[in-house]
Amino acid sequence: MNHFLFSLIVFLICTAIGCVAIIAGTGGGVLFTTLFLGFTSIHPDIIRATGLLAALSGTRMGARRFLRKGIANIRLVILLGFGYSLFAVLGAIVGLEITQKFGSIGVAFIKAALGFVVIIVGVIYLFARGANYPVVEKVDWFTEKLGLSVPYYEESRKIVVNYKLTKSYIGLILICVVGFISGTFGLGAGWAITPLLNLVMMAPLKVAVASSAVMISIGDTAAVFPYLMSNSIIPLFAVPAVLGLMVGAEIGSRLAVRIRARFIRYVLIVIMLGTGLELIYKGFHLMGIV
Amino acid sequence: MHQERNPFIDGKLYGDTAAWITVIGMSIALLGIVFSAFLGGGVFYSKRLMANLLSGKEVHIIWESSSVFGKSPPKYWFFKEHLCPDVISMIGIAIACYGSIFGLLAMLISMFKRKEVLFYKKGLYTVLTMLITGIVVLAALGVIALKR
Repeated sequence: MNHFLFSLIVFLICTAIGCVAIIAGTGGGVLFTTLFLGFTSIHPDIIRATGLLAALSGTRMGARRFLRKGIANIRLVILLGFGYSLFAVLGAIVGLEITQKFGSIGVAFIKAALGFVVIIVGVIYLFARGANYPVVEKVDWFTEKLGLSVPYYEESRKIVVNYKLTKSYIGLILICVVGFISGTFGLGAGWAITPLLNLVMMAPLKVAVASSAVMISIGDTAAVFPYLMSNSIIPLFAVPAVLGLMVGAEIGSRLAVRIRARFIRYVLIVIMLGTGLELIYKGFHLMGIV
Repeated sequence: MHQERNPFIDGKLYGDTAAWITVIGMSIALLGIVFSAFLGGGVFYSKRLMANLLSGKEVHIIWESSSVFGKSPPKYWFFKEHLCPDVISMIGIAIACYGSIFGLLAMLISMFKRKEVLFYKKGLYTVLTMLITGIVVLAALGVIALKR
């Protein structure tokens, strides 16, 4: 196979992944890392590095749109982005340390652990139902002091939405865990940040989605550098993969209005649960457990 | 209302800067890939690279056996090498990675231009933005990195 054909095949596969992912309401990075780790022999360091590069490139495009419209809450992004960035970069270092220090056992551990994470992600997608405008009955003292709320203009209703946020102290703790997982496994983290902002801190769904994209675009930048420094980004693989995911996301966002997103979402959940089990099996098999 | 509009402008600056630098970086990286299809990569032996990649070889083995260096090169090797398609691709990728740093710096400059944003909640958000920028810059410089 010549390398142009190789790049083209990677590009086309990633375009399909990006397209399906966006229709199902997730980022391409999660699906890319999961499928490539589950079904190819490519080394996890290279896949995770490329996954993070894809996540940060894709979310920056989305972030631009959300920030121009003022939907993303920049104060919320800054507050949680600090913990997310710090723990994402620490996660990346730990993730690299595991594979580089422990060799095949480290690879096996990463695969099995990611399998569990992916199953949790699938379950979150299955059961988490976002609330468009959650009602906050009581704002805690800490969140009140932070002055986080920034009203936004809701185009579809032609009104300015004033909303309150709460439980930011829980958000601050959980975002560190999410950042660590994102850096360790090379995943985008929209699957965790959006429910965290919407269901725990009670941000309107649109604000949660928009702020999550901006946060990932910053935090995963910090996490990608340890991979870049360790030369885990191979252009022949990374460039077509990232461009494919970006093109796929663009096609998917146009197709999403015409096809039944719910069906695709269930297909995605089945893929994630299946791949999760495959990763656990592969990880345990490499460890010699099964 | 004036005070509420300012974070909007800071965020917009971040979004525009980060997104455009990413687009520029990835376009340069793509150019490198296209050139390598016609001229050869210059750094990697592409057939050996693909074979090693698909057989799951570790990163250092890939560099040892599929690159002209014969070993894993130092960080930011591509800024020190002669221009060739693989180097162009890596420079593009690095530029794309830097997008958020320039975005954060643009946001900080914008914050410092307006007192009501700079000192909002006693400067909490300005300090946090500076800390985030610090983390990303330290990661980019390799200060926060895997020690060998």
